[in-house]
Amino acid sequence: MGSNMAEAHPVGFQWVVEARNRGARVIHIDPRFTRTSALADTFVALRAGSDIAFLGGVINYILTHEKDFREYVVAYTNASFLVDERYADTEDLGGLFSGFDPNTGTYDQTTWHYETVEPTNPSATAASEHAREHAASDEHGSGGATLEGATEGIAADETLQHPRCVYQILKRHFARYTPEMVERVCGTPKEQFLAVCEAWTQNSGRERTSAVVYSVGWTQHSVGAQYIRTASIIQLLLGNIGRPGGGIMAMRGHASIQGSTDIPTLFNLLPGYLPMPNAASHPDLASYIDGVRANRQKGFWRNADAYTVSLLKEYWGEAATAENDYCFDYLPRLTGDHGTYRTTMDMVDGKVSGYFLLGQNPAVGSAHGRLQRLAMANLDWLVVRDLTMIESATFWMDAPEVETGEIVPEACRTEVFFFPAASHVEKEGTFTQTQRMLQWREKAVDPKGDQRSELWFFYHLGRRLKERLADSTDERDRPVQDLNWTYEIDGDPATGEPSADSVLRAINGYDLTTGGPLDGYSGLKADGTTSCGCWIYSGVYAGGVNQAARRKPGRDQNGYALEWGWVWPYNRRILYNRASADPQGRPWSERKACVWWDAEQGEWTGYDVPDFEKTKPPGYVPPPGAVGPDALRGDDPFVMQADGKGWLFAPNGLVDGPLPTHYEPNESPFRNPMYGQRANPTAKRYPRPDNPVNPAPPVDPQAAGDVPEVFPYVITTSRLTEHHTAGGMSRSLPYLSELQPALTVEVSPQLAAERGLEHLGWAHVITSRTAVEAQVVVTERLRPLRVEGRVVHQIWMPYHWGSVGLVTGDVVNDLFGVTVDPNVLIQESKVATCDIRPGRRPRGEHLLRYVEDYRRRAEGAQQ
Amino acid sequence: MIGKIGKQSLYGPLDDPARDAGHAEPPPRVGFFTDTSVCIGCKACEVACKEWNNVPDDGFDLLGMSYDNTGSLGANSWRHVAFVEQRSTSQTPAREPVDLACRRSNCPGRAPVPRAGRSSAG
Repeated sequence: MGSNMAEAHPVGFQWVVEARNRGARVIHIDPRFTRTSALADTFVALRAGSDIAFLGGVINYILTHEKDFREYVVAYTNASFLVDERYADTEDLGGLFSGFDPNTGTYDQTTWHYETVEPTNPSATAASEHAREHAASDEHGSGGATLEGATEGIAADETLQHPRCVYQILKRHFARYTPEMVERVCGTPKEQFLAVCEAWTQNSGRERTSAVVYSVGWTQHSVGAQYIRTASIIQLLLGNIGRPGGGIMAMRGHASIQGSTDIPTLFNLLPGYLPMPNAASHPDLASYIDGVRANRQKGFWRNADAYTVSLLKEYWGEAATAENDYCFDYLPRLTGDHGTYRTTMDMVDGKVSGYFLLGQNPAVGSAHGRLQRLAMANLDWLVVRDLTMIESATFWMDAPEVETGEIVPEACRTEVFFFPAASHVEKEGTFTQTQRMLQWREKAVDPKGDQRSELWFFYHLGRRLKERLADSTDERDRPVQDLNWTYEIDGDPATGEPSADSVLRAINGYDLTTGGPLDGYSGLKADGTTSCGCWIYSGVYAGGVNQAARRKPGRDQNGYALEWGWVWPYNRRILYNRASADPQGRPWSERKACVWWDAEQGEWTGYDVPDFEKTKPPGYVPPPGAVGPDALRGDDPFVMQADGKGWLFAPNGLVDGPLPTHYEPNESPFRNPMYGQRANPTAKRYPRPDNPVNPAPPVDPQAAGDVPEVFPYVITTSRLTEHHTAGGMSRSLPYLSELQPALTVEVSPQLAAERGLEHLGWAHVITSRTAVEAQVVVTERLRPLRVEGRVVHQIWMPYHWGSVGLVTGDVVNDLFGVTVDPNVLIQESKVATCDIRPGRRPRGEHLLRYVEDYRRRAEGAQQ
Repeated sequence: MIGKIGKQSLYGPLDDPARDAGHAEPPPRVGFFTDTSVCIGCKACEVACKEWNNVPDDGFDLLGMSYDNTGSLGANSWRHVAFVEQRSTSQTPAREPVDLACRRSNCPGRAPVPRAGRSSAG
């Protein structure tokens, strides 16, 4: 769902096909019929942006027919926990939860807490404007939200009857997500929807498990995090988490994107999902640690102090001491939203002077490409490191804005430095794939000419900066001066390639008292005697061996292939696999056995590495006063969670609600059929003249413009298997370019008739941002859907094209504006409203006037 | 020549096409494993064939035939993954038969060998 896995992840999809050949049933739910659908047993079409309604319908089906895996649900989830009596649901408040402040568009989450747990939500005490400026992950990191007092036992009703227990709240919340409502909102026929519900529930339980696969199609929505939450609730209710064949698989955007979140390129995270410190609330290390985790909470996240201090020791080595807070003050601090899109707008506004682009092509790949290009045209300098001269390096001379006169090459002030990058076969290192598996990669050939690895670039950049600042007496240069920058160099120290192996060892971490490598994160200490570049990766060099480089063939080991590569944490292939055994420690079934308690040996054992303290028996009850891992019971499988349980209901941590709720996309041709509240009330919008939004239908159904005429259609985008994201790696290659040589727009035969579009003829798609042209492909892969009693047409485009390369075309992402999910600040670029007209788009200044006219008419129609 | 007619017909097994075509000491035949039961139509095999044999691109033409922009076999396209979109109530429309130009060419890396399991191209 939300994934075109066959086309975007063909190497992984071979296993789906193999599973299908061995009897697994594959269901593909997507707005459009794709090559994935062609190999699925069942294809189910739905309207782009309606996934929570669909999945909420599945939850309602499970609860109405009591199809949940009750023993699992009672023992391993928070279904029985009681929630604060002041909590009010969307059922009570017309689509809002308790605590909403309409002035700031934020929630005070105090009332979402468990009855017996103290609220620790920062926005409950600080000004909510603060919350507005942050992503949820700044506050919480990987361990999720804190729960002060979770160790003391949470008030619960194991019969699941109490009206305020999570199970009953869930039941009430999803009661209106009926099959009829699913049909009305998603356009999916009721019978087809029920067939999915039956297949999913029948294939779950003791003997069987089902897996969910999603991709970027789910994340790029104003409610993206809640899409995934909805799937998580289903999988927890059906007992499909922590068990073989279950889970929720996130297909990442491209190779090692998992790695680039683990050791992040994100503004709000430090390695291992530790939050980036905040200027206002984290003046010192102690206050930071207190903000990361509560004192009286369960689980391994409670040891965040050891992870943080070890990271600081890795960064600043001997300079980091207990007396100076391990150089905590050297870390930069967040003062607000510094996300990609905020930064782009700051560039437009002249607040940012320099920018590094590394393997990223925002001129094509980011939403609102026009805004991206105008932003980059207003810098002092721009560094682009890529394989070829991508659009983000050449925008100043060939952007569409040159044609419209908005960028004048002779006057563009940005100085662009292009550095050719070594490709993945020209350097060694690791990839971390979606299963959290690190796989070591050898160098096949030497890079040619000036091509260099990222490792080379950053090592030598850091080295030169250190040399430049060596004699500085300015206090602000201390973080660079003290930086621990000692890696093995192959050859000349001034030009040689740093050893990726030595970097991996630093990431794994050292016992600084012996100098030896650590065997895993449980060995990390908060007293400065260990260093570790990323605590979850600790163990990748256990025993002084590069575990990621192991390549024992599958035929020589069991199906978990524990000696192929290395999976964080601790080489555990299935996260939270304690849940694969029942509370007494026995597998739920022989068929689905994974790990179990061996009473004779007094330890957990099994096919996988147990994701649990090895010798803690299933019946273990912690002594009073225990905290952290010691406070985990023998049947608390979710060892990172503050209460050891899977969260059906999120009592803290999500800024847009404790339960997923169907809101319409920010741009939709419909009012919300389910609630008075139309779109996500907390979605972050950037209202400014250069970020216009297609208007929404009026609240009053009798008002004019109820059926939008200016932007009547829904557009969604995705990839083709023949091209790679923004095209930098594929439009430059003849063998790939010839396979998909031109930008196309797919429409149904019905829409083609309605708008007079001809197969292979030109058409242009228009939104409030711009118009882009493409050749028309009329295909039944797209079908009109019936939503809210009327027909809605969906349009699809691939987004791989730009102005350079062997095959060129308009930038499809120029069509989208910037509205972001409030939890993670990811843009809604998988759904918008639009119009489509035959023929090519206007050129030059005429294009600007044409789009402006559309905007004016759309706004006029809504008034 | 009469004796060659059966051997050079456009169907049936080909024991030694390179020698038949006049090569004195051709390199050993190698196969292109294709398992259409796991084929998604990614066309990596078309690319691999071109890379291996150093065949140039065949022009950048949009054909509008489903995902297929190769169109047909030719001098510079020795493999062709065709897409057949079918309307079906059971909703399994696309099949991808693989055409090969190399069955009778002098290419040493030719001859489809149907085989269970994944294709060598992954």
